[in-house]
Amino acid sequence: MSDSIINLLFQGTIETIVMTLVSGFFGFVLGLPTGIFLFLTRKGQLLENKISHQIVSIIVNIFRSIPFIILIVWMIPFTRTIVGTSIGVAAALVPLSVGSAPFIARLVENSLLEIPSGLIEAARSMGAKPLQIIRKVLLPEALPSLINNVSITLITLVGYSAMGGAVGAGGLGQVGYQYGYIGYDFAVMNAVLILLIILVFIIQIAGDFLSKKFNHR
Amino acid sequence: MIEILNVTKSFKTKNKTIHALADVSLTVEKGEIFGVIGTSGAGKSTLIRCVNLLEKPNDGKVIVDNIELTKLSDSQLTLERRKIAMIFQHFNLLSSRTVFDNIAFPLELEGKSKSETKEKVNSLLELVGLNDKAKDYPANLSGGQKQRVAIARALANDPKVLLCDEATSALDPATTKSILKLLKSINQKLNLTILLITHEMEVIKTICDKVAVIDHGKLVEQGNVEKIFTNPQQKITKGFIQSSLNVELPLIFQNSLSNIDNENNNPLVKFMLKGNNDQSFVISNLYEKFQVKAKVISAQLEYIGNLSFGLLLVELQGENINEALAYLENEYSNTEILGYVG
Repeated sequence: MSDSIINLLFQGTIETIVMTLVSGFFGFVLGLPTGIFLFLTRKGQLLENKISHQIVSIIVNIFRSIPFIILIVWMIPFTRTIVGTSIGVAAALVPLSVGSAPFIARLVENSLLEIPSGLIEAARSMGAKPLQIIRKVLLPEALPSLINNVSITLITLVGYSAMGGAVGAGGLGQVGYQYGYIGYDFAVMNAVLILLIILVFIIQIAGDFLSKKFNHR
Repeated sequence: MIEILNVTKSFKTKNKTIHALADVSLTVEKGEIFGVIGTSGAGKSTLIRCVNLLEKPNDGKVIVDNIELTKLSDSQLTLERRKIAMIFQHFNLLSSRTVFDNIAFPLELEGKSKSETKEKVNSLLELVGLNDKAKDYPANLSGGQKQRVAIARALANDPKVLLCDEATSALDPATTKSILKLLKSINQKLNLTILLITHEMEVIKTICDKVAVIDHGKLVEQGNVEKIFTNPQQKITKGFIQSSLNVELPLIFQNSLSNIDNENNNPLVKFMLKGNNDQSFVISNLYEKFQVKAKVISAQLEYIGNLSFGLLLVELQGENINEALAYLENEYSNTEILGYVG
């Protein structure tokens, strides 16, 4: 493999990592509060509210139904107004964040459902305000499970960002698509695959390690 | 200290309404340990949750320390709850926090300073005897230790009352005893008012000053523990008392027991002793009055304060057995002939 190809793969790896982490971050910025909201407005929970729950739940379901590759194209006008362009890493971040947020919201909702309801009751009996319950009970108690969700999300985003490569998102996906699919360069394509596999393994191992570290159950 | 006035609470499920509490009223005086006993589903959990309004009653008033909680707004109620501590059957400790941080939790909610928190938590650890466990996580503690942490946490904000929701029901008998002892000593040391619910008469007997019996959402009987134990009025109350006394017929008698009452057979009689000093002389009384000898087969006696009560199972021997039986039936309660032995 020539220096330029190695350079390309290196560049692609960095781009994929940036896309995964940054969109993962924004995905959580959107998805975490949404997940908490979904949980709290459920029947029998702190801020039970059937209508709000239904509305948010439906929006989440709609966004989860859109195949990611279509979401990228569908969101182009919105992406342009936000980052000024529809191709490249910056442009990919918008659909990646929006696409992962509803997925994250459901994962967060499920993590919170695992918390024994007695803990919330105990916190209420001690006079904890709703925000204190979220900050001091729900999030810390769900932390190991939330960390697992972070690794699931990041791994999904590695895949999504590679898919985005086919429509100009940059990163390893684009390298693999152009050199492998269009140019029939098996060496490059396999190199891309190995790099993606390594990336996924690193995320999974790190996630498992951290989740275990914070689990005191 | 706690006044529950005409509280009613019902739950609606899909096709019916369940009346968990029907017009319940009770008063707990300051410094008292008040126990509510009932079978599962009788409404006792709902009752204790109505005191700090974790469950909102449909009707009625709840007054704690002269503050009518049922009138407060949600945010006022949240602050008022900080003075109404509660402990639970399943402890409800935060698994993500160490013992120290669990006890510090209510102080954090109040925004207390680090140094103040540290001092308070350490004194509470001392009180419940867990100084060496401060840095452990709840997962590494035994049930009894967990409940001690929960008690320390409950006391952190110097509460006016302590609510105990089946606090010993998940513990073994020895641990139950030690937790009850701890509750009693806290009650005496801090003059803390305690309201507890339980399904075990043992708990009532061991630490309560007053008791109320709840059945199908209604309080059917209440009063001083001595009075209720020695003179129960309701069937369900009698049942609870019986269940706390277990005098069983030994196997060897079960096999030779018959229903035939003749000259050669002696009756086996079970009866209840209560409170009264004269009743305790039952054996000598039977002999002096009727020359009937009572052979003790099995017995259990308990003390509540300075009153004793219990069950006695005896075999009667002698000539005037019928007179002796009549005497037992008139003077003692729950007198019952189990059968005859040869």
